[in-house]
Amino acid sequence: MSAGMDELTPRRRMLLGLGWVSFLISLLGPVLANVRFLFPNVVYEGESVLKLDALEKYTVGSITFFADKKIVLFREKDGFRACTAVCPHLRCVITPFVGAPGASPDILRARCPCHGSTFDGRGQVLGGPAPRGLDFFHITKSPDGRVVVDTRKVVAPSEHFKI
Amino acid sequence: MSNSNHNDSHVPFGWVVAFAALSVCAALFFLLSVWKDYDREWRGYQRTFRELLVERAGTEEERKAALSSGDQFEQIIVAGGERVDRCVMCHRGVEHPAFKDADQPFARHPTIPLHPFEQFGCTVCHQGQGRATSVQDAHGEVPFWEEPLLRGGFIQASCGPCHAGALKDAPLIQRGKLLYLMNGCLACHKIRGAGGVVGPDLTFAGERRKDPKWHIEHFKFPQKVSPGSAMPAYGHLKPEDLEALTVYMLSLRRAPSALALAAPRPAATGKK
Repeated sequence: MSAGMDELTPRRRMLLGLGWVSFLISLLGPVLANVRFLFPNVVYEGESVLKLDALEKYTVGSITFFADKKIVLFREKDGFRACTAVCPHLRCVITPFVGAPGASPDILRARCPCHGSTFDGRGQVLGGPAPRGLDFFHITKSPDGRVVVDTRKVVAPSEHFKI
Repeated sequence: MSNSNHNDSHVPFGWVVAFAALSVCAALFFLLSVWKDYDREWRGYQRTFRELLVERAGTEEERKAALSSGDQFEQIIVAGGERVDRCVMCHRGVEHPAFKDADQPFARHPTIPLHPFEQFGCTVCHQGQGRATSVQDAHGEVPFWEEPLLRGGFIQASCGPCHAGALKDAPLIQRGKLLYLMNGCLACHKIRGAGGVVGPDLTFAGERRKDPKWHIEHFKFPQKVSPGSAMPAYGHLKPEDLEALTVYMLSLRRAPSALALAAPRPAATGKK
């Protein structure tokens, strides 16, 4: 036994330690790499950051409906707001908002053609089966002066992007 | 405990060395693969672009935004995934007004009315391999990629498929068409039902061969790239005429299906 203790020299100890640490890296590393694999760099579900036209193209009081991008852009006195045009009930695209130009968001109305959910200009549900209101998105300006809507960031319906 | 130590120490030293060496090799190979996956060409371009952005920032706010932005994957999805262009991962300045006079790869792209990038992407006009993220692959100048990047005047060919009429900004198509008629190509080749039957029908010539170099070579020495061809050589034409003819040939194709926007499904619009 004393001979055994002698054999566990520092060199042997170091080599064993190095071996086990490397062994664990080569085992755990690929496991972590496989977990990373579940979070792809890109997805093909359509873009989440939507670029619209130049800021000045939208006159104050206008409401622009983007059927292809499925969003609605409000240009109000205080700035821009953007909400989804997808009904939270069963994901139909709502109708464009109706109301006089420059009208208060409270009297604007949009309906979902599928089951008749009604929303006001703040995205609130006024009737129908929709379980919650329309989501409003974060807006920024691109370097070339265009409106950029980031649909990954949901903000309060009252939040404006000020110019 | 002492027993296990005892057993442990009975393992020959050579085995310990072998265990350590193999484990270190395995760990190094793993770390190398992680590094190779991380260290991509585009990160270098994005770093350079960030530095330029900081340099050109007008306000402190812009400078901070430029500094805080990290490496990012970016792609333009055209027509619901028909084409996916990642060119903007390196060509970061395409829409940035501060990069108007910058050199490639950061030069600003001239604005073409009615052709927004987010709708058309890049490869619809420029060709190349949109999904690739390294320079060689992306420019399509690699074996087995049929659509190499169209450089110089050849880019004009891309207007042809959609714009049948004469275009002010794509004069080479028109010139090529004229040369086609003047040199009697019509005698052997057929385009849209008009022409001879000796040579192949050229109605969609641009779909069969998308590499301008092939066309130039073919005009000069037809038999070299197409053995057994009965076509006479047109090497006596001026180089710019050969270029125009090539542009015309490349323009002979159907409009990219990526640009035909899919009709919204009835459920999405509420209409039957």
